[in-house]
Amino acid sequence: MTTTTLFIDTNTLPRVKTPQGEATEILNAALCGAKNVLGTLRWLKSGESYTAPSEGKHQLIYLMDGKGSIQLEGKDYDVVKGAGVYLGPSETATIRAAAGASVKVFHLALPPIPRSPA
Amino acid sequence: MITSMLKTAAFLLCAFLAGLSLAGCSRQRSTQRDYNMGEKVLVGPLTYSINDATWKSELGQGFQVRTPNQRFLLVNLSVTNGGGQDASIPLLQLEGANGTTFQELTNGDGVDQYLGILRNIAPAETLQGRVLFDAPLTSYRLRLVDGGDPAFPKYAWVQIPLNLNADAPLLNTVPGTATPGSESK
Repeated sequence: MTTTTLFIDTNTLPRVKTPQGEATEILNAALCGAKNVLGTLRWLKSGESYTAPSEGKHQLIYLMDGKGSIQLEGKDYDVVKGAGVYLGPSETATIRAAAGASVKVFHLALPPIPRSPA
Repeated sequence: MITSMLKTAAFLLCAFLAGLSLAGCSRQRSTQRDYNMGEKVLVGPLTYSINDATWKSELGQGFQVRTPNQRFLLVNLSVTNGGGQDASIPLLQLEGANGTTFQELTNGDGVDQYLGILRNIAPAETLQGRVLFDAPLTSYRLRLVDGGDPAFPKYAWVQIPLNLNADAPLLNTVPGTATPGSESK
């Protein structure tokens, strides 16, 4: 059995403008055959925000660069590069760039793994 | 005679009102400021210390996994009874910023060093362990109770903060290993 390493150059992937900042998928079925997991890079400018939807998935939000806030249960928490939060299937969060700043966010989403029957 | 009776009535009325006022005060002997984790918090005869608080998305292992409705919050605390008689530690409560409250869970399955629900504590004795909550991920205030007369409880509150940022690097943790330019003052 041979294994190959696939290199994905995230800098060359096209960015898509959305109502919640610019985004580009860096981990999906088309890029590497990932059937469940979806990885996205997202850039938010000052005044922009992104709400990670509560879609029954496990999600990870990691702040790769910049300065902003993450809102949980209606309360804002200031965050800087290196901050992150795991969201369970029923949880949601909104990340917002600070005034005059921008943020680069890595967003990973995957469905719950079914448990083996006892 | 009438004047004397009026004076007596006025005196009795004042005494009655003063008594009501004092009784009202005695029901609210709670601290007003919030304490921080790690501080010693004196509530009646009990001294609490909240050592740490940890969020978990599940408890247990293998087929014994236990999942929360929201998120598990484990609070590690120690309680010392400084009074002269036995006391019991009631169930604790989390208070959210928007007024929501979450009662401590009474099922400790999957919790290491679970404090239990029957928490009698003798004079000079210290109990240490973890209590469990199921609540949405955010910051809270933990309401502590004195364990005395349930009709007249005394409370104190400890902040349970939520920090989403990566831990700050540790500096000067070992004497003599300070890096140049990072001398503590």
